Amino acid sequence: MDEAVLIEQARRGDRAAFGQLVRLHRDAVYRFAARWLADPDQALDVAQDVFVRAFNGLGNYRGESRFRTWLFSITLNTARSFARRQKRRGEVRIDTGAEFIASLTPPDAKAARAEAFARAAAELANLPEKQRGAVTLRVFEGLSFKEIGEIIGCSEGSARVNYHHGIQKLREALT
Amino acid sequence: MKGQYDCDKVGDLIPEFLAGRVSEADNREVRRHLETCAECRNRANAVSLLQQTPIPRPDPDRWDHFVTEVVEETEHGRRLVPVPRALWVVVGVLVVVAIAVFLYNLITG
Repeated sequence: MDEAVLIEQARRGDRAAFGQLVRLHRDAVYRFAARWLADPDQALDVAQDVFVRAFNGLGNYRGESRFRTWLFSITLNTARSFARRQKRRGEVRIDTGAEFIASLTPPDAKAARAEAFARAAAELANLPEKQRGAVTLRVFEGLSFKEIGEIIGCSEGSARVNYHHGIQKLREALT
Repeated sequence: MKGQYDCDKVGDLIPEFLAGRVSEADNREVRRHLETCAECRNRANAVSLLQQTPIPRPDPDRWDHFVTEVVEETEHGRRLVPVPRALWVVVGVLVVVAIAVFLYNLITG
């Protein structure tokens, strides 16, 4: 069924329609949260929270941006709150990226390659928030700089600058 | 010769180029630029490494029940809309007054 129809039905309280929307977008929301937070368990909690918030806030979605872009905005805000709560509780781990990647068990991965992936994830996790958001949304989700700007809360030009600064830092760290 | 595209333009296109989502013309120009620009090659390598970094699947049991749990949670949210405290105070006062009136009538006959 057409996404716009599902949104309209969900807005009227149709939970079956909303369930279909969740099925359509849960992979992308989880992926973004997991890359951004560098933690799969937290990412799942955040993803769940995102969809509940989205359901409650459907009245605020005007269709001016893609539905997924709107969901990514909620994801970023939710992930930020999550990370801040953890920071207040002193639960921030030093090497979240390495731990994130260590949970992987690729059967044919060579040690050097796994190490390179771990470094890449760790360096991404260490970027400042806006750069991390811009790089994640561009590299993994293929969003335009205009959409990224809407999500991270800046202009299209600033989103581009954040992306390039982030990539430059990663290049310096990884090569 | 780095071709028609400068480093900024190539930098913008790298994620799509690596994912095979660029036009034929963009593909040709990005390749031409990368062949001669070591800096952009290094950036492309960093992006490529990131793109290949696998993402762990979430806990399969939680993932299987994800949609159901989210929908249930929205239902709970609706059911558990908190009644404002002021409303409870008003209800309490009315009950006390009603009991007082009942007792007064009972006593005074």
